[in-house]
Amino acid sequence: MAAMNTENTKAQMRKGILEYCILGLLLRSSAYAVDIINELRKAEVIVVEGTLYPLLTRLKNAGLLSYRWEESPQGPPRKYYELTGPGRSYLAELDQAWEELVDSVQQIRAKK
Amino acid sequence: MKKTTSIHLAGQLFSIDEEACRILADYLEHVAARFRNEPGGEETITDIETRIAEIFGGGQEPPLLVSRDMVQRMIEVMGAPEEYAAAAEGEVEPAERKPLYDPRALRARAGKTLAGGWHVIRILMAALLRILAVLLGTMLTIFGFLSLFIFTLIFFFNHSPMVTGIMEPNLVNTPMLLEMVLNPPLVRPVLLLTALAVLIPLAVMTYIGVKLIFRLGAISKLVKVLVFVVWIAAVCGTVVLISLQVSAYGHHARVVEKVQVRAPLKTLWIAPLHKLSGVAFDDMAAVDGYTFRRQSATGQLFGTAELDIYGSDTSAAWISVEKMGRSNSAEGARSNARKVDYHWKISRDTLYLDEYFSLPAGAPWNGSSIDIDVWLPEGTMVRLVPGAVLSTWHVRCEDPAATRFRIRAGSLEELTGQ
Repeated sequence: MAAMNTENTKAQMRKGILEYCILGLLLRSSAYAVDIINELRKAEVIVVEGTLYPLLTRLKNAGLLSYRWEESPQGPPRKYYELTGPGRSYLAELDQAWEELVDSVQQIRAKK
Repeated sequence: MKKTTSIHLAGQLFSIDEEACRILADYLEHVAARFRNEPGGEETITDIETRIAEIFGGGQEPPLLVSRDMVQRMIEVMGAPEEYAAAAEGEVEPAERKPLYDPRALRARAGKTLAGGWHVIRILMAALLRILAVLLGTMLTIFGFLSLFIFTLIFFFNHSPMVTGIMEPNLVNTPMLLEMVLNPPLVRPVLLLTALAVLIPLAVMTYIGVKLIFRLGAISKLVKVLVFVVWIAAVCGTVVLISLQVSAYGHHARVVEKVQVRAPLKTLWIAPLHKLSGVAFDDMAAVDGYTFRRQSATGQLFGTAELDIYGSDTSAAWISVEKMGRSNSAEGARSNARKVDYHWKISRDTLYLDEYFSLPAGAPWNGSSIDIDVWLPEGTMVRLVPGAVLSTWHVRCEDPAATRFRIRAGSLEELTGQ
């Protein structure tokens, strides 16, 4: 039971930073959904691919991302996502929040 | 062998086995149920479908066959809809989440039962449609092939002894018939174009029938277009060539010779004057009982005359012989009518008739014909001299060998016995 709770907490923590990770990845360059998934998988932030698509839609609808179509070597054209101006500002705020969060946790841990 | 079906996923065609199709349909239904009512939900659904198509290796020709294992691997990669939808909503996953699908729920059991029933109905419908397709295919194949066979014989082997024996007297020697009504150099092109115009649809009908029975694959569009273009060209070519020729038959003229038989007749005997057996010919053609003969050396044509015998309104007997000719002018038609050579005479109670009419050597047919009309008073007997038969002049009798007739109720009645 203890192991299950740990996994559940880790899953919730990963979910919490998922948007931040996606925005962070797209800061480097525009990317196709599968490229994003592969990076997130490597970092063990995401487990199943399906998680990504509703998030991308939500971020796009919030004006943080936009996309362009590019031809695919096989199959239909692909959506390449990129950060918008508001997306960059939002990411900068998240960067700051992340730093503060890490500091806060480290402070709490150091007081132990 | 597993049954397969074709589906379109994100605009791409896949072959998929039935079980895999059912699992995939369930999965997509779950995805749709999760996102359908959310802002941008349709876009998310489309993105997910596009990714699934990509996982299946879409865009290949011929389409890949998607198996149950491939669908299950895809679900492992994509995850269950209830797993990932929560992330989009920003929800915190509860430690024990209520599953989306409870197999014990009444609606789940009812759904399963209905789905099972629908599955059976689908199988029955598919079997029924297959039976109908095979029946229709069999009918089309048999009808198309027989028609194709018969018309091929008519067009290309009509003059062979075997076919002549079968077709006579309805249709014999199509090339000669065409040579009579068309300019000789146009006969082969018209024959070929007409054959294409008739045979191509019959060949297509046969092919469709065979395809329905054996589920043949579709033929390439290029072949379809090519066949259609050839057929259209053949139809247009036939119509144009024949239309040009038909103008040569635009006017017709009749030259009529009519006599009244003054002496009262109890019996009219009919006897041949010039017999067909006396004509030297080496080519023959027939259509609908009208027979034409030709001497190849001189090109002279011989046709058969048509005799009609009616009851007269009066006590007098009348005989009318009408020569008809056609041409592209009224004068030409009259001239052609006069050129028709036919002899007849009435001597006492005997009507002598040529068994054929002839045209000048080398002259084309020009729609020439001979109509002999005989009006006889009620009760007059009509008899044939030995060896003569009325069918020589296209008079249709129940007994072709009948020799005794009588005018009764205004028409010719066939008498049995001697």
